[in-house]
Amino acid sequence: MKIILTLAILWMSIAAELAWSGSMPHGALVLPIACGIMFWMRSVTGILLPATALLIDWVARPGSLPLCPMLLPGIAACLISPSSKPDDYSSRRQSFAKMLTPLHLPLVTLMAVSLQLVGQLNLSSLPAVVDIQSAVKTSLPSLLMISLPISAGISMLMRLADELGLRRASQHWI
Amino acid sequence: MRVEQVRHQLWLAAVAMFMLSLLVTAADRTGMLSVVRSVLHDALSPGRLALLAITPQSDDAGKLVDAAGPVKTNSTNGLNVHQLQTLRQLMIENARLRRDLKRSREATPVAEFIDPAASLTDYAMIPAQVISSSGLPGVLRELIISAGKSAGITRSELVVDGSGAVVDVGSDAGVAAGDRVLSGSSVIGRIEKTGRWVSMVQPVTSVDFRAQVQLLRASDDGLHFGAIGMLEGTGTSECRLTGISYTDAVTVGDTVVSADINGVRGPRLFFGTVASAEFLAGGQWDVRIQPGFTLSELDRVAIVRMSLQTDITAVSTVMDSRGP
Repeated sequence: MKIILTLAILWMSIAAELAWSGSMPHGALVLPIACGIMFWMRSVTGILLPATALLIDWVARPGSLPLCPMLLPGIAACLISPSSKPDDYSSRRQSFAKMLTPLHLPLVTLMAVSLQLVGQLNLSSLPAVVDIQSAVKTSLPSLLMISLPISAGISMLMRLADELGLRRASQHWI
Repeated sequence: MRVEQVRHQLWLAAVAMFMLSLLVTAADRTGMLSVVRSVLHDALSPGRLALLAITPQSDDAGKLVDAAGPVKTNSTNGLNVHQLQTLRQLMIENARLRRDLKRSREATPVAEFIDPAASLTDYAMIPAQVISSSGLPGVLRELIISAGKSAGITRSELVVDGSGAVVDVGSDAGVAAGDRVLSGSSVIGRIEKTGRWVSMVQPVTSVDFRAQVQLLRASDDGLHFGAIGMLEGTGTSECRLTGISYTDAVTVGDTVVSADINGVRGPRLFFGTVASAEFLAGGQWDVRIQPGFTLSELDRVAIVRMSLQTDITAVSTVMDSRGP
């Protein structure tokens, strides 16, 4: 059931981007949702499904290289893989990395957006600085304007779900 | 132990996706994904169409009419000088547009009279939205548009940028130098494959693209049609013009227009301009054409559909009423 719901969300997000392709930049909706699903599910399925959706999105709207489906699963695996070291509950101090956990999702979304922009540049030759500057100036603000609030919303939703105990079932190792 | 296992599985999934992405990239470079691409777009189309159906459509014309209403009512209440000036300018522009429309309506029957076969064929422009375009920046490899079999699109129909068809009139019809005869539609490519809701466009720059074209030169004496040749895509940002006899004149800057549309004489469509013309030692022309469309502006296109007017009686009646 969860997998079908995930597939439906990913399919609809790609369809929505296609429907409003004139006003919505490529990846503004799909990238934060794909990252959000990776962090929500925190499992192998949770990595494979969004990455496959990103790959399908690249096939449908190809760029130079599919950097997002290539590298995002690795980045996500780094951040969501469980630690073998037990938490030290005796001291009440939290580690710095632990404190930044709520920011992981927006940071990964930012990385995904950057990868998307780099993947759309002409990488057959070394891209000119002017091309990179124009891509950053024109596409990045509009992409971030949509994707970062969505990402922040999903992050807060995850925190709320954690508090309410809705995400316990998927975190087998915790 | 369980933690280690989960971590390994996650990394295995990440590496598997990396390898799969590499394979898909290789398949895309070899052109194996063309079929998959249109199938994918067809699979995504129900969601896209559902969202478009529930999205309120912006009606610019309606807005203009609505916007004009308050201006009129306010004029009695007293507008400031700036608003009155804007209103006056709009009225002048409106009158100018009406005059242009009237001239255009008068010109179309003239073109039909010059080419009697034109009255037997009917050309319609079906609008479509560009869903995705592939290829490295600068070179368009393929284009997917939001119109398919459900909109009656068939293979090999021409896809153009712009909505206005070009009227086939020259200096014989009283068109003077400087008059804008070629306007509106520049050819992007032709329909290569149609899905249910989407179609794949083969751009004019594609290696497999062929079309019969004619050179057109503007001089002080008016417009002159030149040699007929075959426009071929080269896989780069330029096209090649072949079949030009060594006795024909070709000049850089000559306009290239369609000689026919799928073998039938129709409206002249703009293909591009001659970017370079070199006379080779073997007695042949090496002519390069710069296509007329701009990649960055390709968001809405139109498909030129030709249909035969089956109501022959009505057509002949119209012709008779026009006289010789």
